[in-house]
Amino acid sequence: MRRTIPLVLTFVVGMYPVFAFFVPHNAISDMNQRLDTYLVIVAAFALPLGVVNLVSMNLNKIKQKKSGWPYSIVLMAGLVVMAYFGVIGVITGRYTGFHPTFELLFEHMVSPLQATMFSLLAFYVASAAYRAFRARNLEATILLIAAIVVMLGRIPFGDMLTGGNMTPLSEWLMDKPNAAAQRGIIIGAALGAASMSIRVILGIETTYLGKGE
Amino acid sequence: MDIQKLLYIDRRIIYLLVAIGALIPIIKPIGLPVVPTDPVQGLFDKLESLSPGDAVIISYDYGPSSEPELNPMSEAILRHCFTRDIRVMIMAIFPLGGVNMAIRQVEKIAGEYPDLVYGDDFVNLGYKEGDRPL
Repeated sequence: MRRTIPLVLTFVVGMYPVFAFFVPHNAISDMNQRLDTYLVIVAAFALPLGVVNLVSMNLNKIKQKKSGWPYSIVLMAGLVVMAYFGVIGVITGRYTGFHPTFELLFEHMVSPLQATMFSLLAFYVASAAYRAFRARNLEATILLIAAIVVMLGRIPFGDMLTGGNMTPLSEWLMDKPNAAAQRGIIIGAALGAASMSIRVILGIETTYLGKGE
Repeated sequence: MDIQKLLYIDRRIIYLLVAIGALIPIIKPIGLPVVPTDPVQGLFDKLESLSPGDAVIISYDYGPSSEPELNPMSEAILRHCFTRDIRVMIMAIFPLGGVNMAIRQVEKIAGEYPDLVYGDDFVNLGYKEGDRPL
C-alpha cells in the first residue's frame, strides 16, 4: 500500500498533462494549469530544504570545530542577518519590498563579493585556456581556431584587426555550427528525460520511492 | 626560442597579461569600433517599432557576478524605452539579487526622466518564484 498509492498518484499526475495536451477543453486545461502552479509550490520547498541542510551541516562543523569552522560562523551570521532584514523588508518595506539595511548589505557586501569572485574567474579561465587549447590534432586545431575567432569576435579589438569582419564570423560560428551541436545535445538530453519520465510514470523506475516495502 | 617553453610559462605571467589587457582600456580608452551583432540590432529594431504607450517586460535574470557585464545593456534598453515613452515592467526569476539590481537601475535611469510616474510608466513586479516551471 505504501508503494501503490505513490505509484498511482505518479501515474495520474504524470499522464494528466499528456491527456490535457490532446483534449482542448476548458475544464481539462484549467486543472492542467493548476498542476503547473502546484509544481511551482513544490519546487519552492527545495529552498527551505536547502536552508535546513545548510544550517545542520554548518552547526555540526562549528560544534566539532572542524577545519575552517570560523567561516561557518560567518556564513550562519550572513544567513540569519540577510533573512531577518529580507523578511522584515517584505512585511514593512516600500514598493521595492526591501529593508534599507538589506539593500545596504546587498549593495556593499554581496554584490562586490560576487563580482570579485566572477572577476577572478577571468584569470583562471585564461590560464586554463592557454594550457588546454593546443593544436595536438585536427579536432583540437579546429577547436583552437574557433575559440580564437569567437573570442576576437566578442571584443572590438577583433573588428579593428579585420575591418569589422570578426563579429559576423563569430556570430556565424555561434549561430550555425555551435547552435547545431547544442541542439543535438539538448535533443539527446530531452529524449533521455522523456524516456526517464515514461519509466517513472509507468512505475518501472521506482528509486524515488526509496528502499523497502 | 623553444616553442615548447611557451606552453609551460608561469601562470602568474598569464595573470599579468590578462590584468594589463583589462586595465589599459580602463585607464586609457583606445576608441575601438563597436559593431552591433544581429541580436542587438534585432532588439533595437523591435523597440523602435513599438508605439508610445506600449509596454515591455524586462526580466533581470542575472546576479551581481555578471552585473558589470550585463548592466550597461539593460541600462541602454531602459533609456531606449523611456525615451520612446514605452512603459516598462521589471521582474526577476533569478533569486540572487536580480530584482534588487533591477530596482536600483530603474530608480537611477527613471531619475533622468522627471516626468515618469511609478505605476504608470514603470512598475516593479518583483521576484517570481518558480524558475523554469514558471
